[in-house]
Parts: sequence; structure tokens; C-alpha cells
Amino acid sequence: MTVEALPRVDPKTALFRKDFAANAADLPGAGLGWLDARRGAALEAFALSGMPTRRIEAWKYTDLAVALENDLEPATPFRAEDAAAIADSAVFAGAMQIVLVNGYLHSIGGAGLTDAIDVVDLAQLSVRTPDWVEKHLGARAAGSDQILGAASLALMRGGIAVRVRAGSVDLPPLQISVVNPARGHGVMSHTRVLLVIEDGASLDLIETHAGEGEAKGLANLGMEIVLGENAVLNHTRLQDEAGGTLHVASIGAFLSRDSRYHVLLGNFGGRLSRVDMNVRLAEIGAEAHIRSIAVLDGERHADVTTVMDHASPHTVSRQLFKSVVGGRSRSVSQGRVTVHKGAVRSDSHQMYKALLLGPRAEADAKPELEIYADDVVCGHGTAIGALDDTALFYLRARGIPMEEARAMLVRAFLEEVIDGFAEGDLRDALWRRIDTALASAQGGAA
Amino acid sequence: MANTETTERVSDLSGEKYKYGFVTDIEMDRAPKGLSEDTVRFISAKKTEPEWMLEWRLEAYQRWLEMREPKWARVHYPPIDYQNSSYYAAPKSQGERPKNLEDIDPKLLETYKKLGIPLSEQMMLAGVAVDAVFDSVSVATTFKQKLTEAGVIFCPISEAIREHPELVRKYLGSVVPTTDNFFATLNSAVFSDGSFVYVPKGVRCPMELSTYFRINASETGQFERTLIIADEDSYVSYLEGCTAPKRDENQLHAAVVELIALDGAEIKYSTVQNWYPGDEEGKGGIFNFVTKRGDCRGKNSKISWTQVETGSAITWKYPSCILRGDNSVGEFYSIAIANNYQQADTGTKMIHLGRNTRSRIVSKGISAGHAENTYRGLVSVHPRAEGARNHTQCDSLLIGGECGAHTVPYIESRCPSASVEHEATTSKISDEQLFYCLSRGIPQDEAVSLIVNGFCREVLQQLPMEFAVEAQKLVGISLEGSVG
Repeated sequence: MTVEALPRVDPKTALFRKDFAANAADLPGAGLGWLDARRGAALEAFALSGMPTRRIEAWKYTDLAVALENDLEPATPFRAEDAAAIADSAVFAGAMQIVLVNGYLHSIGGAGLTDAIDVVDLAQLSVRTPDWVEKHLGARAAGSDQILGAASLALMRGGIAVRVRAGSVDLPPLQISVVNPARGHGVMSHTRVLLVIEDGASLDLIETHAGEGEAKGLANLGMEIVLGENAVLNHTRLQDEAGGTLHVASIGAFLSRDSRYHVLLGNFGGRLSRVDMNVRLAEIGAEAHIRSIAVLDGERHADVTTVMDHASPHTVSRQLFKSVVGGRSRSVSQGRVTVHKGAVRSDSHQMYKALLLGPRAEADAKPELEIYADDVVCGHGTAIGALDDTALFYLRARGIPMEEARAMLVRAFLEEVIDGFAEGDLRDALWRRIDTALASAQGGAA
Repeated sequence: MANTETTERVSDLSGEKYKYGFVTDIEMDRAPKGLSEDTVRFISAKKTEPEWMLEWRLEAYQRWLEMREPKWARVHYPPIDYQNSSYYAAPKSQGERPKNLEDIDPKLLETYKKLGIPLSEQMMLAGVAVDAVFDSVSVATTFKQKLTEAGVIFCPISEAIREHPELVRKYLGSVVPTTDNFFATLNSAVFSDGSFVYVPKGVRCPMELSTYFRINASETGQFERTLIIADEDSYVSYLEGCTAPKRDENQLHAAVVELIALDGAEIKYSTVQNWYPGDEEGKGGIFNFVTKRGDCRGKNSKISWTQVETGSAITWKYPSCILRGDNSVGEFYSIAIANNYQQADTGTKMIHLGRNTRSRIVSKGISAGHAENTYRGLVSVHPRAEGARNHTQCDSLLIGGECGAHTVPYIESRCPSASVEHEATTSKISDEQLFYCLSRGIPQDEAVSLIVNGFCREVLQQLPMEFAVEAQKLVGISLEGSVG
């Protein structure tokens, strides 16, 4: 161990460590041996690297330590005046809704839950907690490779564990709405979500993040996804935090034999967002598709960093990232695909594209390949540029005004990501959000 | 014609896996082991350098003491003991400088014969001038007269420091400053010799310039320093080829190459690196930590790097271009082959600063045996670089299930009118292609060589003729025994 790797206790790192030191005994599940051990390991992993700075390669383009305020207080659960903020978070048609307020389970609404789904409140962990929670909680998205994920486990105040029982299919979509109401000052929430889809089950998940208020806070989420054999998860994330928020989501997914994971990451809000996604294609035939859309106006920073582990033969991964960057915003797309020894016939592709709308916008990409097996097909592509002048000219020559022509081309650019993924209500909601962001991003650019 | 000799030499090459594994016994004039201010003074004194040069070196040395060895590259090697190596070695016969070929130590000439480049014949080789670096001191410079007539200065850098101090002072360290990185700083302190080229305004250098570097003495680090300046509207093509004798002890090599292209100038820099890669168990081999950087300082200038990296146990090398001048062009064509236990971490940086700057990167990585091969590259477009264009293509080929091929590109764009494109693929030699060749009676090794040469063609085409023939053979030799 070199001197540099020893823990540095800067004020931002200290913020988390102090919180733990002061509140360890009151954290949910404190005293449960299995959880204490995992929390301890997670805290150690976090303490060892400290709050991420650009000195850590995986955080090269996102300096969380600089962006984070150092006087944040732990977020508090639901209060009566939060009702309005919750009412704003719309329910998708027919969806079962679970509402989290500042990371605490608040209510279960919408169409209500079916029998095929079990939900456990992580703020109420006890000796009676079911085995499946004990088995999985904190096994993923809590290591040194996902530093903030580790912090979210160590400092977990609440969250949910959801299980879809084996063989359950044709369920209504499940919507998890995370709402962060204003508290008048900067707060930090550390939330965990565990999702277990058992063998042969299938689920459509819609995860929304919304917030209010101008205070600069941190919403830190650690999410674990476990897919059993032949399980299918279609996951849509709509991140639309309030303007001052730092949104960090560490997602760890484990894919069993022949399981399928499709995810669409939509990044629109927040001052800074970082999605740190590790997908492990653990068993033969597993398949993961990651799509990402970021439409950034004003002065936002959106970072999507993925690690795709092809750990077994005949695994497939596809990644398609598109960013539209306006104003003084910055989009970061990083992804490492690792094909482990013996994972032959792995098939992987990454494509990153970014459109820069203005002279102050920036896009950074780092698509990485790390390959230790020879019989593989892996590739990646990146393109960063502006709207095609010829196409603009073509449209304008046909009498379409400049603004409209630009919007048309940007929409066409993004359509590939949404097409074939979202349908109906969800699709409309995505486009509505994209159009709002675009109008603002393009306005800022002109 | 001129190439018969090269071809013969290459046909010799294919006879054995590493022909250059011999040691010539020449009495060395060497610095005692270890690195201190005294070592730096010793080297400077040996070179009869002016005071300013010594100060420059000492400043670098002081800086180096505060620096740490970089660890970010994907290469693993035992810690280097910088005190257990000698930083200067010169063939003894250098005491009195030879007037012509006859005066040169016959043993030296013998070594070149083994290398297949006897100077006498080399002089005729397609008008190539050779500034041969035997260990650290240049022993002979040919075609000097012809170059002098054109006004081109081509000499050992130690000579340039004495005779053209105004040029050296102006440009040395202006592309790779003494503070740049651990290995470049070390080089700045202890560089022994290297080449210096100055092409004056409007001159097209009348011949390809070429230097053969060679590490000979046991446990002697080589610290070459090359400085090439192409003045306005000039052109120069520089070839660098390397071989080294077989050794068990790891040898350290930390070279620095600086290129400066002024308005309208063009520099083409080609390298074939075939140093001792270590044996099949990964024992021995050269550690190659090189800083190469070109500065397109002037408008409409162009710098083109072509490299064929087949040797060395460890390669750490990123020939880069700073595209400062408007409309300047940077190119990087690379073949990196790693076999057995070789580790290569190589790539480029293209820094777009000027308007309408263009860059192109073509990288072909081949891994076999237990080797690890990494492409690491940066394309950075600054807000001022309106209309900049980049296209990057990096392909990796894997031969066998024990090797690794990695791609680590960094792409940063801060200019909306710039267009940056990157594509990469990784695959193995196709069974169908191999089967096709085998069923037509082509032996396996030859078939692999054929397929790999096809995979590398785009880069091989960029090499000057003499090198292209040699490099093609080299590709085959480097991969011998890697399949089946």
C-alpha cells in the first residue's frame, strides 16, 4: 500500500464518517450481525478511497468532492407539508406505485401490489427480516468499485427490498417514485433499493427521481438487482432532480443464466448526476442492454459510468448512449467492458454519441475494452459533433424554420434510443421531458 | 537495387527467432553505477558540454528526485533500482574520433555486419544517411556533405549542443519540458546522446534520415534524446530502427523525442522497434519507457508518426501531436505486437488547439501467448479548435486464450463545430481464414503471418520502402509459434 492510498480525511470524507460515528447505533438493523459486518466492510471501502476526486481514475471527469457541500445534514422522513411534492409525482397508467420520501418508504399506491410481489421496508430491519433480504442486501453496489454505493450501505437510513416471486409474469408495471421534498437547507439521503427477480419472473420497472427546492443536497442511492434464471427486467430510470441536487446512483446487477436486463437511463435534472452501473453477466446466456439519454440545459453535469463484466461464455451486452449538451453543461460517458478468461463467444458493443449545442458545452467519452479471451466479438464507437449543416439546410430549404429544423434533427438523433424500448404512457412521458429540456437547452445555445 | 540488401538481411532474420542476441566485447568507458549529481556532472563533462547544459541537466535531476514513477499503465514489472545501473557507456575507441570508416573499431563494424547493416553498404542504401548510435555515442555520420549542401544539420545531439547552441537552447525541452513526466525528466538529466536534425526554411531534405539505435553494454540504460526541427515549408522523413543483444538482466531505456514543425513544415517519423523482448518464459528483455511528442507549432504544418513495435518486454510509449497551428495535421499509425510475456501499453495523444486541425489515428494491436497489449489514447479538442476533425480506428487481434487486448480511449470535446469519431474492434484470427490457407498447403506460421500482415496493411503502407519490407517479415517472426 502506497502512502497516497492511505485514507485522507478531507472535510467531505469526514462528513460521512462523522455521520456514521454519531449515528451508527441508530441506523436501521444496527446490531444484526450480518448487516453490521457488511456495513463495516462498506465503510472501510469508502474510507480507504475517501470522497471521489479526479485523482481516482473512475472519477476522472467528475469531481464529487469539489461539488459536494460539507455542511449537509441527514435527510428526514415525510412531513405533512411534503404532500404537495408527492402529489406531483404522477403514476403511470395501471402501475403499482411505491413512494419513497428522502429515501424512507412512505406509501404504496397506484394499483396496489399483487401477491407476486413482496416488499420489505429497510428502515425496519430486524431479526424477523426474511432470508432473501439477508442473502442479498449489501452484496452488490457496496464495494470499493462503487465508492458511493458503499457509503449508501454504510449510512443507509431507509429504502426497500422488493421480490418478484418465481415464475410471475404479465404483472402490471412497478413504479418506484423517489421524492426529495425541500427541507430549507442542504440534506443528504443514503438509500438502498434491493430488487430480486426470481427464476422465470418478469417485471417492468419505472424508477423516477424528483425533487424540489433550491438547496444544494445529495441524493445517494445504492441499488442492487438480482436476476434469477430466465428472469427479465425492463428498467426505466427518469432522473429529474431539483436544480441544486447531486444525484448519485450506484447500481449493481447480477444476471443468472439466460436472464435479460434492459435499462434506459434518462438524465435530465440535478446539478450533477452520476450513474455508476456495474453489470455482471455471471452465467451463460445472460444478456444486458443499457441505453442512456441525457438532455442537458443550463449548467449541468451528467456522468454515466458502466462496468460490464462478461464472466461467462455466450453472454451479450449492448450499450447505446446519446447526449444532447447545451449551455455550459457537460456530459460524461464512460464504460468498461471486461471479457474474463474463458468467457468465449462473448458479444459486446458500445456506442456513445453526443451533440454539442453551444460553444460552452463539453462531452467526454471513455469507452474501454479489457479482453482476456480470444473467441469474442467486441467493439465500440464514439462520435461527438454538432448538428449536420447539410441536413439543416435541407430542412430550411423546404421552408422549415431554423428552430423547428434543429428540434426535428435532435429528436431524430434521440429517437433510436427510445424506439423499441418504451411504449405508450412511458414513451410519451419521456418525450415530454425531452422536449422541455430541449427547448431550454436550445434556447440557451442561441 | 537498394532493397536487395534489406531483403537478404530479412531472409537471414527469418532463420532464427532472435538473431540479434549476441554481445560484442568492446571495452567500455562507463560511469560508475548509480545516479547522483556527480553522475550528471560526469556525463556532462564527458560530452564537454557548456555550462548552461549542465545546469539544465541538474535542474531536471533535482526535479526528478521529487517525482514518482507512474503506475497507471497496464504493465507490471519488478521495481527498477535506479542506483543499480550505469548511466553512461561509450565505446572506448571514441577517445580519438575516427576520421573515416577505416578508423572505426573493427569490432564495431563487425557488430554492424551481424546486424546486417555494414556501414560501407549502408551508405549506398537508397541514399539513406546513417547516424549510427552504438550504445550512446554516435560513431559515424555519413552523407553529411550532401546534407550540408542542402543546409540540413544532421548530427549527434552532443555535437549540436557544442556547435549549434542557439538552436538547441531555443528548442530543447520546448515540446517535452524537463518537468514533463518521471521518465522524460530522468532522460533530461542523464541523456547520453541522440540525433539532432534541423531542416532550414523551404528545404526538402534530400534523403531519408535514419539512425540505428542499439543497446549493447550489459546493465547500461540508454537515454537517447532526439530533437528534430523543420523550419518553415520544409520536409523531413526520419527513420529509427532498433535492435538489441540478448540479455537476462532487464535493461532500462527511457528516450525522449521532440519534433517541431513550423509553418507549412512536415515531419514524418517512422520507427521499427525490435529490442530483445525477453525469452519465452518472460525472463529478461528491455524496459522501454519513451516520451515522444511533436508540436505542430506553425500553420499548415504536419507531423506523422508511424511505429512498428514488436520488441521490448515492457513498452510504455505514446507518440503525440500538439496541433497548435491552424490547419495543422497529426497522424499516428501503429502496429504493436506482443507475444509470450511481453506487455505493451502504447497509443497517442492528439491535442487540438488550432482551427481546422485534423488528426487520424490507426492502431493495430496484436496479442499472442501470455502477452498484454493496451491501446491508450487521448483526443482532446479545445474550445478554440473550430472545425477540428479526428478519426480514430483501433483494432485488436487476439491469438490464443491466454493473452489480453485492451483499449482505453479518452475522448474530450469542448468545441461544437468539431467532429470526433472513434471506432474499435477486438476479435481473433478467423478460423475460416486460417482453414482456407491451411487447406491450400500454406504452413500454419506462414498463414498467421499472412493474415496478420493483412490486418496491419493500412499501417505497413505508411512505412518508407526499406522499413516496410523488413517490418512485414518482422510481423511474421514475432508471432512464430503462437498458434497451435
